Amino acid sequence: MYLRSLWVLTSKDLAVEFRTKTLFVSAVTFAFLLLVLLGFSVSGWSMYEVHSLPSVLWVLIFIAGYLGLNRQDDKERWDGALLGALMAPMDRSVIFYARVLSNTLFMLLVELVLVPMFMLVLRQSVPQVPMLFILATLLCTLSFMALGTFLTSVASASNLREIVVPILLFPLAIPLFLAVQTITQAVWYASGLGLLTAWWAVLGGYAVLFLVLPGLLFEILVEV
Amino acid sequence: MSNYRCARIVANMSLLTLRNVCKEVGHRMLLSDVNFSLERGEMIGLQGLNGSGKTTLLRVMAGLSRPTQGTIEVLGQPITASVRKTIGVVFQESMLYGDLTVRENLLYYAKLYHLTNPQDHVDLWLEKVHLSLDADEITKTLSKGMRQRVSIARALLPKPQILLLDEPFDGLDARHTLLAESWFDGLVNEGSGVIFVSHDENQVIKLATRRVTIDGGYLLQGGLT
Repeated sequence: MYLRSLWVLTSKDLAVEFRTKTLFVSAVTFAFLLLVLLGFSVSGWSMYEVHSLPSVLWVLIFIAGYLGLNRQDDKERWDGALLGALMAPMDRSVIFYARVLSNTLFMLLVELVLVPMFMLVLRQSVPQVPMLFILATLLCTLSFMALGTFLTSVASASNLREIVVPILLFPLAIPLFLAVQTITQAVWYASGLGLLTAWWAVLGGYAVLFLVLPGLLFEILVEV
Repeated sequence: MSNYRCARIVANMSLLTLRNVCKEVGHRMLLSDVNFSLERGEMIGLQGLNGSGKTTLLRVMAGLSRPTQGTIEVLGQPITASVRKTIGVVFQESMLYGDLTVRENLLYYAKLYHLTNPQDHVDLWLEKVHLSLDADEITKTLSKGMRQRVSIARALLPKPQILLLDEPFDGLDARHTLLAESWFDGLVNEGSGVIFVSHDENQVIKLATRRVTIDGGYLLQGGLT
């Protein structure tokens, strides 16, 4: 029953997004414009600074992801659509997990366009350890979307959500950002791979924490 | 306890009971010590001025808002996921997805309520609300009245035992108002209970089997039967 409800909610999100493409188009367009602006300033950078560019990729992804989360939340709040799901005979944590799943899938699609765009515009090579880069991307996207989905869902009823969500989201995502940017830099140039154990633990820990904790608290926090 | 006795207890049990329910937000008391019950076959007209607590009361009854104090029971149980199946709501929001078509919205709810043959239920209700020809229209392009008809169909799809209606006739033309009244009446005749908010005095006199008035979060009359 749980998985069936999860599928019904996720397929609804996919149907809405494939029809409107608002999350995808707004996130990709915004990230592309930032990338182009960044491209203008990179020409004067030193080799050391250029080597830190892969971590800049995550700044773009985080901002694009936040934008996408906002768009998704707007659709859920339109004429009380979320209330309908809250009234359905199912464990309300399904709503959270379905949103995380669909937001993560959309964000991975955005990244599928954004990463080659990043390599092209900033003349970056392909990551030297692609499998580890893919793993880090999956874990970070899932964690960031879980954290963001949780915060947007909880703040959904608040009039101050547009201020509250970024104020909470970005500081809470700092350890996640530090972990993923360190790992990305290492796997991009295949250097210092043996020193990443702690950062992988942070990445994995975030994924577990923000998938389990909101699932337990969701019901209590949405019923205010 | 014999099955016969169990069946009698369920049949006699109130559909919905609120005991000493209070709802406080910040320092504002939205509901104060509300005692209320809804019985089978009842259609209650909930009345009150703007801001008197009608919508808050309906949201608390629906399990969308947790009371600060007091208890709510649906068929003798606290509101849980399985109990929610018995509650249908038509609120001022349509609870529909603007970017989905009418059919997709209803199908989504039919599946969420795990109805067997969801497509058949949806087709039936599309016909009932006279929206078969508009079934593939994007919901946000519909007029308010049409959206309200979809919202009513959404609420009635799972055949709820308790129906909570906040201005359900808002935006409906005379023909569809009569039609909606007949559906709500039909549910009541089958043993369901309906609570509806309306500012139309004549409609309340016409439809309600009991009237409940709320003012400043207090039930002034007609709470417990």
